[in-house]
Amino acid sequence: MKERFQVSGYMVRRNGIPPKTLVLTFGISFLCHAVLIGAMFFLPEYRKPMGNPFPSAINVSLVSFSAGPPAGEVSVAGVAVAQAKKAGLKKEAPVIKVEKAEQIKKAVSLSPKKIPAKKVETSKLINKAIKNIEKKVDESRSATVARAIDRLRNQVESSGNIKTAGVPGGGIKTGAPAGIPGGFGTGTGGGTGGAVGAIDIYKAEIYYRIQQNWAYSEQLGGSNSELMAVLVIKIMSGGEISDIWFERKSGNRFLDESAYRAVQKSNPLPPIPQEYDRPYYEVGLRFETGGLKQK
Amino acid sequence: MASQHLDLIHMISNAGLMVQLVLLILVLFSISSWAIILIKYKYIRRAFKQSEHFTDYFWKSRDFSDVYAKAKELEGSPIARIFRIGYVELKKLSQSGVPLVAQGSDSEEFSIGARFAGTDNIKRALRQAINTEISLVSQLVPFLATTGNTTPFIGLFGTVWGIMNSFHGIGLKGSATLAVVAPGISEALVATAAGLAAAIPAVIAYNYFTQKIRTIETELYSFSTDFLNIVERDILRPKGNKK
Repeated sequence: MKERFQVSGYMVRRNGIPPKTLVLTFGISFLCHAVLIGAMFFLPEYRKPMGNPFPSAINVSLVSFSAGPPAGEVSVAGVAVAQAKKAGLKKEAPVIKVEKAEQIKKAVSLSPKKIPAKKVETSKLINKAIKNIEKKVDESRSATVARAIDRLRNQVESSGNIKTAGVPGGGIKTGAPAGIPGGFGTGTGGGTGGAVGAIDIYKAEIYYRIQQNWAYSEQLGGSNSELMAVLVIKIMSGGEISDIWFERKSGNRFLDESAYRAVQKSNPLPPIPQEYDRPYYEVGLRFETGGLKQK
Repeated sequence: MASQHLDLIHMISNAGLMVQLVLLILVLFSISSWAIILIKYKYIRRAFKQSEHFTDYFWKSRDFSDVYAKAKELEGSPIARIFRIGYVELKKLSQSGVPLVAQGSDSEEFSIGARFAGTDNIKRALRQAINTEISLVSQLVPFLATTGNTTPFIGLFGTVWGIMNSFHGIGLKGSATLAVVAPGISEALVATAAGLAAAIPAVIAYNYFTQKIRTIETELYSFSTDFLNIVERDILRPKGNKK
């Protein structure tokens, strides 16, 4: 009898899971989880693909404040000021809206990054453009636009003083003087946190290069506003583009093709900065006609 | 843009409270299920190893007291424990079993009845022991099934909640570009990913363990039958036949 009780007691004690084992195993399990999750947070291999599921995007938008499609002209994104000048000379009193002035403002505010040429020339040209705008503004609505232009001028003045190392100004299609990357669209897509400085500059470079190569004619492609094509390019460390694909087609074949060709023409791009430790760099490019069309 | 928030740590810290809560629950589930997997794996491996060892020994040696000593050594084997219960019962029976052995000479019927009573006792003890063993072996395993079944839903709940919120945000902002929609959704999807990450090992382990437990159960039943046969044939009957 006694033995039997002993055996039963023994069984219960030994075979139920002892609390010590339980605590230990839970501890081990917890530790493993902590290590794994920690690894996801801090190891760069996990961090980059996980942390950046979307390739960072750059907007390549057409920015202009000409009222209609300039006849027979190949308008190139980013040459807003030059275009404005032309439009100002040719057209009679196009309506300039405040938003457009805003766009210019943005555009110019971004330009200091890449103004490669001498500042004197730049500001002179911009001032000329502004004079043209003013002339038009006088004809059409005045007050708000004038205010916007004031702001614009201030910015031009202040930005003119900053000289940054940028991309050497290449030939821009419309024959506008090199070094006025006027309409720089709505800006670059955000970089990830951390050491992004180099990659941001690099992105700006790519952006500039592709923008220069982008020729889009409204007449051929239609001036439907709000069109947007998103291209993703894969840049190898040496700068060659190894892959181009559409993240999103605009629906307008001409815009899509012109965007694709712009990227192809820009190959090879400058090599990826060494701070960026992955073998390739993927970046999305947004080609928009957004600012072009007057509503 | 929002891409500086796309880092995983930002993604989680920026997610809503409910998503964070869901993630916490999922992590707890995952921790517990992995702990159970470890415990059970160790337990079942030990049980298999020692049971094999014990059965070998059992069939080689014909002396139950030897086997009993061996069974005491092999604590991890359910078969050995069953044997111990059966053996103790048998011993108790033969010690107190006045009618069975000592006075078995009186009449044939009495002896047969006593014999059957003896095996019945052992049978009952074995059945009880088997039940105990099975419940011990399968202890905690249902939690794995719970984890496997519920964590995907919990994760999904977190995702749906996150997406609900992000769409609400989009509605407030009034813009629905990919850049606005995507971060919220990807934040929310982390919850589903976590749910699946918790569920998949749990389901695999659950299936593995149930199969192993079934094997152990079968072994226990067949061993108890063997043991009863031996007891009946070799121990009780010769004594009964001696008279």
